[in-house]
Amino acid sequence: MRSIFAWAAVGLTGVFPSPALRADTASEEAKYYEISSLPIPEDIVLEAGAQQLMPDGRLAISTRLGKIYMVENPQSRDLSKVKFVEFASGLHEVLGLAYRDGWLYCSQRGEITRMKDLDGDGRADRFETVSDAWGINGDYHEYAFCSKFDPEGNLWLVLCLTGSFTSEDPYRGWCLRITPDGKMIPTSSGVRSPGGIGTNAVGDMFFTDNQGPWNGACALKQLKPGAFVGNPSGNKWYELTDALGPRPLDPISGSRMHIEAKKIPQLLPPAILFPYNKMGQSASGFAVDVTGGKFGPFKDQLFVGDQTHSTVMRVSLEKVNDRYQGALFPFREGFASGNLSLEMTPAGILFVGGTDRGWGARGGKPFAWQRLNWTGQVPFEILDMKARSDGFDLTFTQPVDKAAVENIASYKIETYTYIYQSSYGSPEVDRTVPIIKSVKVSSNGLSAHLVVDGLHEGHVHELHLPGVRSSQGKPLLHDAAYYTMNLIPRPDLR
Amino acid sequence: MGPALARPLEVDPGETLLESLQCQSCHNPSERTFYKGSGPVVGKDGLAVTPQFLRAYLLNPTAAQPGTTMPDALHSLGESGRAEVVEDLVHFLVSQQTPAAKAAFDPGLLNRGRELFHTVGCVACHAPSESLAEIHPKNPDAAKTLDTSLKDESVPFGPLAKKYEHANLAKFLKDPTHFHPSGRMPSLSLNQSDADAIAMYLLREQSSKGEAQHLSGIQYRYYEGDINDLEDLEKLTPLRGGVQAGLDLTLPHRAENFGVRFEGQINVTTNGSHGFEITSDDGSRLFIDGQMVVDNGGTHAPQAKRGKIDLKPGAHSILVTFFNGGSGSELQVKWQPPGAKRELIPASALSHSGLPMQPLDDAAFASDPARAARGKQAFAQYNCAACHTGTDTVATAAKPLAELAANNGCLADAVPAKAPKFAFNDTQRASLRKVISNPAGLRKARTPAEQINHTMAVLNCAACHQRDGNGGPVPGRLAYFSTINDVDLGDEGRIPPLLTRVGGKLREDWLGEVLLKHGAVRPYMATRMPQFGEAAVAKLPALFSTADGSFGTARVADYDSRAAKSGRKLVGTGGLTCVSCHTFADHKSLGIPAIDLTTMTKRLRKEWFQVYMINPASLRPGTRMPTFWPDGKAVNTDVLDGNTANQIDAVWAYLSKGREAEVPAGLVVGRKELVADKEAVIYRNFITGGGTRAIGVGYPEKVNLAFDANDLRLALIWQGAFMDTAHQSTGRGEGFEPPLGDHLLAMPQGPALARLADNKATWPTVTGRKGGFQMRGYELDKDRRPAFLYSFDGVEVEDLSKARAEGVDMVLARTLKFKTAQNPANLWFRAAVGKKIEAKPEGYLVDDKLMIRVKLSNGGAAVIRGEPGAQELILPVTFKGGEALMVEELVW
Repeated sequence: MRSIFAWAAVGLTGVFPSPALRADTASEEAKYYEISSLPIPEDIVLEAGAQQLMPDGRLAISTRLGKIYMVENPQSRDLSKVKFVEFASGLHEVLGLAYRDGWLYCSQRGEITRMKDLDGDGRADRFETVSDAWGINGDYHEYAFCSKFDPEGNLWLVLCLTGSFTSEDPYRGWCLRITPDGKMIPTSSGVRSPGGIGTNAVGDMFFTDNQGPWNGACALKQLKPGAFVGNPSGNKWYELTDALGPRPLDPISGSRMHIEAKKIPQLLPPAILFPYNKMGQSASGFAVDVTGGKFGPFKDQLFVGDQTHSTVMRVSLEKVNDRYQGALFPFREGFASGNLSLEMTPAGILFVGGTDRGWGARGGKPFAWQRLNWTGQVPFEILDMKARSDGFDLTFTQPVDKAAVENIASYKIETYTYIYQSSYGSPEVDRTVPIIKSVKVSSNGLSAHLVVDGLHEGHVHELHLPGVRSSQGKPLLHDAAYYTMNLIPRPDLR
Repeated sequence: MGPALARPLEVDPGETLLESLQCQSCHNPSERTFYKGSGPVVGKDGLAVTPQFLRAYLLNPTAAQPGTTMPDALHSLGESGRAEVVEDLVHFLVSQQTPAAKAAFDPGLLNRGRELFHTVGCVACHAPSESLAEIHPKNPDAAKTLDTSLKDESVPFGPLAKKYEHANLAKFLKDPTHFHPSGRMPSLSLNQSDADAIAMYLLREQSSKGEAQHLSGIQYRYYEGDINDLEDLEKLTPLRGGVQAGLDLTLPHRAENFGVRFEGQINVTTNGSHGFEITSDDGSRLFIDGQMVVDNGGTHAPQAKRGKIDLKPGAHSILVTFFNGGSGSELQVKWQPPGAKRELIPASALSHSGLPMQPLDDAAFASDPARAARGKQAFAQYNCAACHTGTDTVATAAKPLAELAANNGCLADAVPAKAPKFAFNDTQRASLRKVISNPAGLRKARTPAEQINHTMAVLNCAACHQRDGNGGPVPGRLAYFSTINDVDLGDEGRIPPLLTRVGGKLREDWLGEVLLKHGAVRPYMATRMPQFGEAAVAKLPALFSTADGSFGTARVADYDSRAAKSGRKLVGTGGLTCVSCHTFADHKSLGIPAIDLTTMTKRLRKEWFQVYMINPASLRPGTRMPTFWPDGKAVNTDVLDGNTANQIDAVWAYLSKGREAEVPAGLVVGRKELVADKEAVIYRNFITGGGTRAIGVGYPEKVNLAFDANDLRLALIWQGAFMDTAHQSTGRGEGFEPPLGDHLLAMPQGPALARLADNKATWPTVTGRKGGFQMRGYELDKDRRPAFLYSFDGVEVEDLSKARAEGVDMVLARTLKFKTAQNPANLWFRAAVGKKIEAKPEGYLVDDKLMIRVKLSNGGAAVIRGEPGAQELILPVTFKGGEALMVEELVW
């Protein structure tokens, strides 16, 4: 039997040094990224399910209670100019908004609807059902999130399972595409409980899926035609369609995702895992920074909300052997409610809408709508982390202190994965501790190559860099990175 | 939590065996405290088993009951001598028993028993008998085949169907420690009905034997669902059934929306007029011999109704139906035979007929007093009383353990006649010898941690609980642990809690409640905490407390009403919203039903709470409980200046008020009526009677409708208030919301339009997309009234309703415009379905409730069809130039 005292030492302080000694994270982060709360009229419950910037500069915001507001001057510095006009009401929990050719599209629980103001009074009067080609059973889990339009004019839709574990009606637990003429194309299976959907910088579609059955932790998963993204509860609906080919083999509960993926060709492992409790507990909406620098140095990266922790995290993706994987970093905490929908404007303003109804959130406000602006100051951060056959390449936002960065004592690394199983969630398992053999800083001082012995396929690589300093002696604003290693790059593909 | 790692507990096998075999029943315990077992109690209040089992068991214990811990005390007797002694013992033991009433085989009860057996915790120790898919048919991942490998690692049952009468097994299951004090079979807090059900399941081999007989008790069928009147019971399948003594609500039932049918015989002894009275909330009826005697139907507060019937002596059939919709429930059934007082119908007058459960190998048996007397002597001679209490026989003690020689007596290779013979294998014998030959070890006091470990091993606590990385459900059994009602709590909702440092977590008095007084705070967990009784576990709370140590020091925060106020602010919405997941006394949470907050301070140690609040996952790995003080820093800076310690202390101070605490903000939700003021309002949601894609429309005239966008039909119309949105805009907003107002009428279900070969053809039932319907949307007019747009089989429909008052009646005037490229001649619209539809000068009267006026622009005649009791009003859709127009005014 293990000693209680040994257990206590691990349990109470964790493997890594306690971060409690850090300076106040949120106020440090605020020097670089500033959160400002937007004024919401007292009679409006703005549980922002989705947002869409309109061509005329207004911002459409839909709510969980079925309203859609048009907000005038949403990006104005003068907050008194921010005005709400009710555009539509009585809709069924709108969690997706998109705009095209004069119509505002939305996903309700039971259908994709498009709407228009015909008489010019500022309120929509024509509501057209674009598609309702899926089932709905009356369970509150049956959320439907739609994307923006893809280049072909399709909307991508992810449908939550009927409850936590089952798919009682057609296509619950699937991704569907809706074509411009309203045709529905079954696209991916294996969805559990989405929190948001959108594209990365090159237009590939992703969604966040929440921890639960067959999801050891929350994850960012790619959607593509034919893919099975992990949760088999909805796979009986293969009987309704040939669009994805034959039904995948059922995964074996208790196995590991990367092991099952070798047996099940359709199974596409998550691009990013969000280690539970460390990096949020409920991954939600996300936005990509394609502003060309208006939102700071993190060009083409994804900013992913977390509902429980009221945070926004940062994701950098790369493709290895044509499959996505990548790194996850803490980015900004301290939002006022449970972050749900994120929308970034070309001007580099990230709108974050939050709600804690039904699921508690650190922020504490029942709902909030906030802007996140880059202050123009560049924080000392890991800009990017890429896998190499022998370790990792890190780039930094500022030149580094060569001696500190090349000292292997500046780092701590461990790896782990999750049980791929039908019961809820998973602990971190199969823990390994790789050895950092050497670190070499590049000639420009902006990147470093870590030679690591013991990279592990299918594992999250949790890297802490407490000793890393910038050339000006500053520690990293966030000294942690979580790399999901689906595949170790081969040297010949370097 | 994820699946527990099922590592066995590390304990000395010899010592565990010593305790499991209850060696100290004969060999007085040394100074060291052992877990002390005992055999089943015999005698009048003891465990009653059948003579055929007793006989077989005493003749050859291990053959009759594999795995038994009872030694063979008669091993030295020859075959015929032994048979005589056994027969004497059987006569003695049976003579002491109280005879049991026969139970009837009941498939409903059996099914409930099957479910209970596989969910309440029995299969943590015993082998499951059904595959997971049988028990959790809704879980698509449930294994379809039974894992038979568990059998070898489970406590075997022995020949239950031969051993027990149903009533006797049920009695044992209800209170095992009464019959087997400090035995390892715990109580699972079963009520009588649960125990009856599990016993029925375990004795299922006894079913369908013999002929129907009158058996005591009345049969019931229990229903749940959307029950608004007694007729609704006829549409439902009973959830379970059983037998109980009287006509009352002692059967397990939920608070609302349930119904019961009681059926059986009533035994009449006097000739003449019998009065009956039922007091009920809500409705009930009583029938004798198929004739309704008391009608107390409808929804109402407790009210009494009476009736009379002439009856002759003998058995008469009795049927009582009962339902409760909302709020409180009550049922009392009285009778007044001629010349007698009015009284509750006594259980002795009630019976039901059924196939009796018959133990296997049953044969008539009468105890012979002479044999019984000899049996009593044998009982004393073979020292049965050392393990079996319940008779006046006094046990004789053997040498204390510490003075025993390891190779003598029970442990000798050839067991002498005076010692009982245990069915040891060599390993077991060796491990016992090892323990016995080390008297010093036996005398050495166990540390609290060792005592806990031994208790957990002997009682098999580790089958459910993990402690210090050891124990926890093994993979094959893991999936049998389930939640009640599929609540969304993950593994925390189904797997019993971690016991690592539980003594530092829970207060000693609460541990005592949990171990000995059925204390439980996880109503969502199907598995129940077993009760092993004082003798087995009374010391555990103190042992845990000593072994586990505390989590630092509790900050002393004197109770302060202002601190409690801050705590209340933090717990409610707008603070940290703990109520988002946690229930609060009788209030549901806004989301999942996590543990009741008002129980926290009576269970938890404050110093543990202080640590847990800051990092829950450090003490409960994988918990979904988030922290609101990450890194020890408060996220809420509005309350108590964001001081972490003060905030945690304030929450504690507030929760210390228990059920007396003021309810936190966010849980008491008033009505949030959605009002159509100057223009129509729309409410799309799950509406009771309107479907999963209901579109509610409230008109300023106080007329409302719900349109079903799945089936494309007008589903409901009602008057007055429109919808209460409070529930669906609170928490996760689960479930269907009923219309708020009055004069609610449900319109025909199924398709509203159909192509019929002729007006006699049966109206089809397939509807929605499968039936050729497609929702297109709606367009709002200047008063925001929607014209619903949909299509059916190539016909485009526009469906606009307007409202107005007409005297005391309200009118919903519905204009339906049809457009098509073809001119179909056989399209019909179904306007009404009812028991009675009459043509009147002004229109069609449906069930005396709804007048329908019809205008068909292109001619054609309405048709009333069907038989009285099931009629339809169908209207032809007549096209001219590809268009048709119909006005349907609903007046009510």
